[in-house]
Amino acid sequence: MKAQSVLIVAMIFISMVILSIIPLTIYIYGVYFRSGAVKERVAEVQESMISESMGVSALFNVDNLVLTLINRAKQSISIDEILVNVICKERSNQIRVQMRAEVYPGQILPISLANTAISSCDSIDSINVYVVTSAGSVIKSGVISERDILTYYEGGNTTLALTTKSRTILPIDVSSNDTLHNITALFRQKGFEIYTFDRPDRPTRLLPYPGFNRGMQGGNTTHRYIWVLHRSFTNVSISIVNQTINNLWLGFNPLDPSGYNLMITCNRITLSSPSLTISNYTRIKIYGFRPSTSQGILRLNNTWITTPSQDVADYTFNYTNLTLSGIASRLEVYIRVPSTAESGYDPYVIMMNTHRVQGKADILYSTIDRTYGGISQINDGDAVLLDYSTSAFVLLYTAFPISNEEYSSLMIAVNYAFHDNEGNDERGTTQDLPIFLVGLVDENNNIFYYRAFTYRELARYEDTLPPTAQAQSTIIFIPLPPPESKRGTYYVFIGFQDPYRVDYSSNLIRDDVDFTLYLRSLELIPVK
Amino acid sequence: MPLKSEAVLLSTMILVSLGIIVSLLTISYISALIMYYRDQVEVVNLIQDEASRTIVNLIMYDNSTNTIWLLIRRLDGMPTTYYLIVATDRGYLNCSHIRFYNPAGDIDGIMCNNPAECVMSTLAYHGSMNNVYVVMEGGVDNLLTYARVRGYPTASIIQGCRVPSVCELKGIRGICNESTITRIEIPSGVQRAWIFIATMYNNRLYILKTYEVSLG
Repeated sequence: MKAQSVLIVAMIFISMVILSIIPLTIYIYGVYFRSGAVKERVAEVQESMISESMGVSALFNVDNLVLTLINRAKQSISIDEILVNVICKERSNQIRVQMRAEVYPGQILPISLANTAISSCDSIDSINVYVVTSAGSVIKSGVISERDILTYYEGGNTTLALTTKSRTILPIDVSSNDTLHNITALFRQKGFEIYTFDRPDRPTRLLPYPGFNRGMQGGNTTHRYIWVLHRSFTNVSISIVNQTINNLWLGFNPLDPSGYNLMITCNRITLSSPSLTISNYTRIKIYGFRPSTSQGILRLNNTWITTPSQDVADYTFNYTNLTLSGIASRLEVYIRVPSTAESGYDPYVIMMNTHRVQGKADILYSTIDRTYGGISQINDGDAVLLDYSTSAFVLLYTAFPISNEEYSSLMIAVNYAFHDNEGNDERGTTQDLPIFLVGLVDENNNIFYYRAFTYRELARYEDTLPPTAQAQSTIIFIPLPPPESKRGTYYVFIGFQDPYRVDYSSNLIRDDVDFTLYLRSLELIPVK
Repeated sequence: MPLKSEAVLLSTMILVSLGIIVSLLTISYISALIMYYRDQVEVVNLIQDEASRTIVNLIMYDNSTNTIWLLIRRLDGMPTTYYLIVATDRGYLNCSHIRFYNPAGDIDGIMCNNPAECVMSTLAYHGSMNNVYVVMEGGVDNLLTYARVRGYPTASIIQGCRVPSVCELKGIRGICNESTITRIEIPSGVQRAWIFIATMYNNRLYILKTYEVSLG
């Protein structure tokens, strides 16, 4: 009995202890495992601070204080704010631009900083852009500027770097005070001096231009003709109704691109206003034409032209009826007269732009008067209309001297378009002569280097009919001599001419090429 | 006999009470253990949660003024206060080096060009590294141990600095997606800095994330 009761008490004691410990042990076991799972998830709190670059580029235009962000990434970026670090006169400023925008891949976002404190800085040393996205990441973008490139280069980096921005020589900058019709006066005002070559095919030096009423001649070897200014009008009302013309070159007026500059050639013409009838070959130049017709600028046959074509040859060999009406700041009427004298380049050149750009004037030079031909015809249809240069028209840009102590070499980028009236192209010429030349002269006007754009090269890329003046471009690289050998200062020139007089040998009519040359741009990139 | 049965009863009562006492002691010991584990798990979970919601990013290091510009932001849009501890290879920085940008004081769009725009952070903790905690290897340890393990600088006294979020400054109570910009002035000659971002829990600072910035 006694033993039984002790056993019962012992069992009660043991079961109490066991019953209290087992569930708790199981619970602890569970807790241990759970904390183990957390351990795996939070093992590390250190993170490296890497900000993304994510393919955002920025360009800053110091002229209008517009920062342009370009998203080159493959995903869109949701912008929360933009912080711009500007170092101005060695002082660091952080500018905050609050904006929320979504920039899709490939999209460009212009941000004007004109109203920020950056506008009071006249000398910005460097700019960095930090784009804060809505996800909280910071995208960095350095802003490439001219100074950065310069510093980079001066740092002795072996990577080839251009050291300065390009200098635009053409198109020339014009303002409303300029007159475009007198090209020699215009170019002289714009930092050019006018010269000619000592010889048209392989020039060695520049010679003073013989006189501004000289340089061009026309006709054949026995009968010579030139273009003479017959009448000119200023601020005139013009009306031409259904007059057959041969060619038209049309562009925007660089002084005010709401108007147009145009050059017309025709066999005869009657102007309703100002009242004028010419019964012979005529060249008409109209500056600052503002049409009064609502349908377009002018009408060729039944088609209204509403905007100038980018292809300057688009209205060549038209032989259609021209109708136009409006007012113009200047009208010039040239007629073809027999003369052994020479004319200047004015009848052949018109300053215009095929783009609607204010204040940028390109040069269009055309000796085409009537039509096209092959080796068995006179290209212009009449020997009276053949034109050629007696002196090339050379523009020497003296406003930018290039010293070989400062620069090691020079790149010249030239953009142009060409169209001619020789259907047989190179077979229509007896020799390959330069149409225009770009190069450098030294202080004594001796040509240091030139690149000639010859007829056969240019004709390769144009189509006489249907008229197509292919836009072309070339970069000319000119290494300068080291200053140790000879210190020198060089100047850039561009010269153009029509070198072809007619040639009747071999029972063919060759070298009767007339052409249109449109000089769209000439940029100078000096390299340190 | 009666004496004998009384003795049995007495010994039974003693044994039973001993059993109850042992059980209670075991229960309370194990409860305390569980509470401790639970607390740890809660802290770890909270820190993990806070860390995943807090983003810190270096905007720039401006070496002309020796300043680090940081962006701090919460993904959940809560207007909470951030706590920063900044170590450098030349010692820990005190709160006068840490300023935050207050857009309300900015009239010209240039950040921190006058004192009202960049307010000094306030002191939230001043004391030993032992009393600042960090989640390390799954458990909670103090900053001193963590810094030693990691090779970060140590100091006898450090300061934890309070940086209110820009949402707090603007009085936005709802979800606020704006970034707080902080400017840290670094003494000259510093090659490397470590930025600890912390949260306050039970009046203790817990490190959420550590960022290393090389300034050389």
